[in-house]
Amino acid sequence: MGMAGTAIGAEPTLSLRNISKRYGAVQALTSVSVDFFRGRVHGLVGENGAGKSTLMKVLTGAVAPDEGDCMMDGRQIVMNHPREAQAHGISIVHQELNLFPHRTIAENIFAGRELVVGGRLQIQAMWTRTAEILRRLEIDLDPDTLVGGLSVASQQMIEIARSVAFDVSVLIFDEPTATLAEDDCRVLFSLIRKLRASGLVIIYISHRMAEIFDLCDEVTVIKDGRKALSTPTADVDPEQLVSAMIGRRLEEYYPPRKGVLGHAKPTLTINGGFGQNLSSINLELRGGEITGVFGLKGSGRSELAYALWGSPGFREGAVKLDGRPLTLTNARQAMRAGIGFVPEDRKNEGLALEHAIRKNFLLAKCVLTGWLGVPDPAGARATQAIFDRVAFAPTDLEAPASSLSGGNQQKVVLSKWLLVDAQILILAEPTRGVDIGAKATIYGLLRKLADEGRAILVLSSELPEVLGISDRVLVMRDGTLVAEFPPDAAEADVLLEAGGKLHA
Amino acid sequence: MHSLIVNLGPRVRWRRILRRVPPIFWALMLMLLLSVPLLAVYSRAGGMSWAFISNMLERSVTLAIVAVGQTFVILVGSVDLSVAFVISLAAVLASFIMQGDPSMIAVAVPLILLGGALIGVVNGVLVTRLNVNPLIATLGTGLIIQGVLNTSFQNFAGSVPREYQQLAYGRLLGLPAPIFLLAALVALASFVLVRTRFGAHLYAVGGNKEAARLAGIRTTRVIMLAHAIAGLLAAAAGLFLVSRLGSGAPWVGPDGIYDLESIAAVVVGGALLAGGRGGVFGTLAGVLILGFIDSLFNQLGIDPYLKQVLRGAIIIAAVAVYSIRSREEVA
Amino acid sequence: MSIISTKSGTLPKRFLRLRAIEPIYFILIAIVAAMVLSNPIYLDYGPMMQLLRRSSPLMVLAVGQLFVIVSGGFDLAVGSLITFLILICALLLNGNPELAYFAIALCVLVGLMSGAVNGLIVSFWKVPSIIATLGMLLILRGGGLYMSGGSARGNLPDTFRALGRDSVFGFPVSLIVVIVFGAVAWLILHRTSFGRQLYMVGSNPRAATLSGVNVAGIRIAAFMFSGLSAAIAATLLSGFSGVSTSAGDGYELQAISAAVLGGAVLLGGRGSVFPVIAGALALHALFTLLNIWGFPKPMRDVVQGLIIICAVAYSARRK
Repeated sequence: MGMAGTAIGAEPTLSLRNISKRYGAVQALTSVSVDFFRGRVHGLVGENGAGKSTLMKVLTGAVAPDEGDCMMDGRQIVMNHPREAQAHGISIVHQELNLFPHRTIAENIFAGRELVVGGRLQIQAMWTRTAEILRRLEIDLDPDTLVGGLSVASQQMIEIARSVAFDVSVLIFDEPTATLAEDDCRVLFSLIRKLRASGLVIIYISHRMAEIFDLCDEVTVIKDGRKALSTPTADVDPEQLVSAMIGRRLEEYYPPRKGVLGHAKPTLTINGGFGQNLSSINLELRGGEITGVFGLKGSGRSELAYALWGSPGFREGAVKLDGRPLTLTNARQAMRAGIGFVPEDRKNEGLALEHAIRKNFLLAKCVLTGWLGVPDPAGARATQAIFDRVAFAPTDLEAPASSLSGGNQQKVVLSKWLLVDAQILILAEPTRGVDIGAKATIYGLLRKLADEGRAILVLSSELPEVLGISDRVLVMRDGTLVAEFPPDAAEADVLLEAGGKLHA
Repeated sequence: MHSLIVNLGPRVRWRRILRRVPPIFWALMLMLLLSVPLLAVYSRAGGMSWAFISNMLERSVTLAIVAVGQTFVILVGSVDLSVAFVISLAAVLASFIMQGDPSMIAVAVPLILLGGALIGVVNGVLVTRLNVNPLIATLGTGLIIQGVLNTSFQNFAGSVPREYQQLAYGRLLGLPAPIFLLAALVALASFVLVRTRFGAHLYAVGGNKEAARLAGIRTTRVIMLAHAIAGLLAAAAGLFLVSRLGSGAPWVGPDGIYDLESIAAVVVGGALLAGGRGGVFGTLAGVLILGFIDSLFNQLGIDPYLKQVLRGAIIIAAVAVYSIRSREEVA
Repeated sequence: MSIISTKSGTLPKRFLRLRAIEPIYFILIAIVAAMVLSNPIYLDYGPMMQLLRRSSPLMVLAVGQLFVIVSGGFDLAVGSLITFLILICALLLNGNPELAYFAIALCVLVGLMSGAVNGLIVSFWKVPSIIATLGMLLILRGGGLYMSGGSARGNLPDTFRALGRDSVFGFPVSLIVVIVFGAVAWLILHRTSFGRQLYMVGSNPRAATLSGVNVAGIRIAAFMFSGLSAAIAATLLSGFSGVSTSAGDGYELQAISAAVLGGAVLLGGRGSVFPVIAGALALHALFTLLNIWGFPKPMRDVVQGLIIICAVAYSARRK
């Protein structure tokens, strides 16, 4: 079955043949074919939303493809459940670690496959085998150490040790360096090289060009759900790779800029802001302009958004609003200062999903009213005016927010802040899970709001969006803002800056 | 490096054993020591004595049995509020079935233990299959048991045979029999938790349910079994209690506040209410601390009602001390 | 989904919309019908008013409980709070009619304080509310018995009992209290900013916090409202119940069952005042019915346990 593989030297160990996957109206993958070889590290790159994660889910059995086959050692395999993928020796090191914090390393490694003889756990035997595995991977840790007390990097090592402790032939890494410091990355890389040498297929997903070129033998670029490029790493340079990834697909959706930078009120300045995963943040938001912050996962982008919203606020540093000091230790203070916030995780943080659209829409106003105040029902005309601005035409305001599409949910969140006329808007991933039409509306609206004199900050991991919408682009890495670009900067330059210098 | 790790072996082994002695035990020791002068001055019975300690141990046995069962459910991140009523049920049924007839002991005991386990299974089904919050589910089952019990046995007077009371009042090697019972239970439960696959799975499910599922552990079955054990041990506690009291009554369980006190004991013993951490020895220490405070109050002649006030405050404080650090929202 | 907004005006037709009628009203009618069929005396004005009077403490209490349930918690301390208040007032007044209003004010104060303590423990010490309020139950029960010396002492003057006992123009005062209390609760819950925020806290505390809601403050206030309802219920109850050490026993679970019957969703976010009042009435009527049919009193616990479990399992299923 399937078609003849295009042999590159050896037979591929694992190959995907014409994989297609569709989610509702969205074609996530279109006929993607990739070959993976034993003893090589295969990089998988692509922008957020390009289809990388869907491809990975197909590989790990989390979703079944609509079309196409997976072949392993020349035989077709079917994986409809993660357990089946594991049975075929395919294992993934997730970003969220699946460990048991209150248990020891040995107990973690053997969780679910404990050694038992006659009903008794073989604690000593598991300890010895763990010590062996750790030694083989040159992880200098005692098998009796509690995992919860280890650094993130060490926990990741344990997660890897868990994957390779038992029969595994394909190991997938999903942006493993997002939460690691530089030294830890080096350790991780040497471990990955060792695993490669032992004959595993390694699939390495990352946004960081430096890592791809440092580590990978081959690289595949996914763009718009298709394979854009698949080549030995030696045959390309970072610029070529980046240009294969990007493409201004939505150019026409981004509203034109006026070309004048804002200086007017309100201005929000942060000087020397420190906090969790944040250091030396110096930032100025000015009325009339959209500031974009681009950062990869783990760069401190999310934390910066929360800090500006006071939940939790900066531990250190001076925050000033129009030159006057401002305390930001909870969301209420931020609201009273005229700030509005659109959180990254809309479903869990932005809305009370089972409540009526109207109640969600009125919530900010209601909080500002004070407990015994009567919540402003925001007369039909005012409501209609705001919904017109965000191009939201609800059929029933009493329907639960969960009944809306992602785009319309986001419009409700935005309307909430328009109702209280927030002058500073902090938006984290404003178009995540939002369809293209609504995206264009949101971009247009943000520009209009800025033109009216509001200060707007967009924090996003989608580079085209940041470049397309912002008047100036700040790049965040390792918890701090490392560079500023004009909006016409080349995507490749920004992406390379965000990925950091060579780690190893 | 090879030799380094291997040489760690024996030392690590010791550490592993020491790790099973929770720090709370040192606190218990300290409390016992400090109370000696206190009792010497204020006690009605004239100071700390062997009798005081053995009395405290005996009084703690019922709570210890329930709390060990509670440890299993709390380890998987669940909880059982129905235990107090299961205790009543077991105590009443024991006196009802035995009616003073020693030959019925062999019938009553297995039957009642089985019944307790079955109630535990019902709790487990509610929690795992119907997704009912465990606090609410077990509050509900407890209420139902209480209703059934009060309906059927309101004015009932039966008793267990004298022979059966040997369980509570007998002596072995010059020591009270319940102490051996307690030791055997703790040893067995500890073996299950530390030395069996089921024990390892309990910790895994409580520590990270999703990860446990991904690791191929049947989480539903583990939670059900934990609830069954809690039910079984609550019934066992009732069987022990009735041997102390001579006859059961519908109020013996709730009056002893075994539901809240067992949770408090487990939490004081270092377990997390969210699951994944805790152990039998910690729970035992928690039980002894609560039992000790209780005995101390008795010895100091504190008003029984005031004692109840203090118990309530201690339970809240005990749970608070351990949960205050968590950032999670509770309701 | 249309991107271009149409001016066609699809704004809420709130008043045109036919709201589904809460099922509790049908349940209530069915139970009352069964009651009347079993014993036609309940058709008479007197016995009917008596039934309403007797259920008034539960109605007040259920409304108080509703606030805590909507916020995502439970208040299991209200029953023992009632007992505590009745014991203390009897001790304090010992039949002295002049201090009655002072005593009622004291009840309200103690109720609010006890609720505040519950709220503080849950919000800041992160103790699950079932455990916190069960602990408070022990404290209040022990405290009441300690102060009164283990048995009910003293007695309550008629001035204290008036709210729960008297009638104006043949209409029980306690029902007027229920109506006023229910109306105030309805206004707070559905017509103030506080009420709006309470629902948000119950259904998604994280989103509420990030939307600027003072989650801890709201929770504490909800518990205080429940404490207040217990204080009012205590004075109403004293109208027909004697001074006893078990005066308020079991009321906490009855209040929860009533709220659940009235459509409140345990663990937060849903519930409304009038259906809950109907739920309280239905529960009381159901108990009366069980009585008529000759079931022993403890059967009530079984019924309540089933109500609570089924309601939660049902709402868990729907999610």
